[in-house]
Amino acid sequence: MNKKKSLYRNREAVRAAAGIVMRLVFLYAVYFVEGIAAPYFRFLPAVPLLLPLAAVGFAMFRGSTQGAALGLFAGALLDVSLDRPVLLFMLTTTALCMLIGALCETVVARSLPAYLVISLAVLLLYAFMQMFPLLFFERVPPRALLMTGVRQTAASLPFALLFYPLLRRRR
Amino acid sequence: MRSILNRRNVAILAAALLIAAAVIFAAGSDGGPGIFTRGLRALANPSKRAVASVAKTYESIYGYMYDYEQVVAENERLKSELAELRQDYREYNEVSEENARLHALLGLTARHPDYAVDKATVIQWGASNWQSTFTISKGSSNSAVKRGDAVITETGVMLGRVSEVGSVSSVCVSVLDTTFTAAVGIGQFGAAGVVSGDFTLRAEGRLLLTDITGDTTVFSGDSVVTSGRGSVFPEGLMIGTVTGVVPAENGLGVYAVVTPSADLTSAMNVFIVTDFNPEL
Repeated sequence: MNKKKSLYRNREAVRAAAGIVMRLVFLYAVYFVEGIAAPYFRFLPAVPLLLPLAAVGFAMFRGSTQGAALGLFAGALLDVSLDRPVLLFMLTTTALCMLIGALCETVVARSLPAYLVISLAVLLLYAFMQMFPLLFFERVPPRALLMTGVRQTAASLPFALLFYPLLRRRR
Repeated sequence: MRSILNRRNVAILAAALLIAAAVIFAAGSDGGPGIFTRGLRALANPSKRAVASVAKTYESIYGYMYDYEQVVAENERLKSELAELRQDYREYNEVSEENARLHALLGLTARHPDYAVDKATVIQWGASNWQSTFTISKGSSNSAVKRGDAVITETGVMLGRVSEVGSVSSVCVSVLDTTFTAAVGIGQFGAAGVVSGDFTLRAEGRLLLTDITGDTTVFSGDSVVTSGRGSVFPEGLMIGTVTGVVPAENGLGVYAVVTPSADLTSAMNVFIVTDFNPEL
């Protein structure tokens, strides 16, 4: 009986480890598309931000702990893809995913409309974070920044529809 | 002996001798084969034709199969040879292009013997919608590159400057980025100014030229090159061409719009000016 239990636990541990590895590989593939391939997609209005969408999806459907861990990895990759030091988006994504995971464990429904709304909010937040230094330190006209933010959000949000069936948990 | 020379055998032998004698005597006066020979040959002709037809068919099948295998083998050999020749041609083209680049660079370094130049490749264009950056293949472990070094093409056209140095790669900001500025000379008549990236003009692929000084007017078509002032960048690096002159909003002076000479969408092979003599 003990042997059966330990075998079962081992199998579960292997399955859990494999799941984590798969999610990390998925995030790296998203980074590859966003950070390396997308700059060459000139038909898009802007380079889409895909890593936040993937991190938010994991946080919604996997909970706050897994969401924070995967958000840390996704945020670090996002900093690298934007040619920034690995700090700001890594911390922001970790904290955001922890918060979103906690909300989805308690009050927020794990559904497509909720995922789209949360993704839109996150994209707008990230656009603001990116335009902040240009707005306040380089005095770039707000209209130009807003247009770029709108283009970036519009180019990114449709990918949430692609990620939803891949990330949601099937019961 | 008696069993061989029985009646029947003797009769057959006699008949053969008679026929031979008849053939000899019946041979035509022109020395032809004679009537018996012609007759026998005519009887044998259909059989000969049948056998010859079968033999011909067999030979053609055999020849086809044998030649087909040879043709297939030769086809494979030619394909392999063609693939090698194509590879050689591609390598020749690459070497030829690099030769042309280095020749152009030789012209640049001949004009500027004080430049220390290092070759690099653009390995990634920036994914940010708010900055204009690119990553090159040289870093602190494989080059003398340092922050602030100018990144140019082989003909001395400026692409940008190094902003961050990693161990095997470095991040550069292009001339379109809002953090790029350079002191420049304009045209042939000594006007000077400062060229900088502008967020609004970046979408159009253009730069802003401000703080224009000098007694001459700036015209569309004037060349904009680095002036070397402040020893930030070497003198004489081409930045672009003036494409529009606009009066300033406060009514004092003008500013200009510059179209960069560098092709920022497809530049792959670049050079880093790691050192230069600012006094030259």
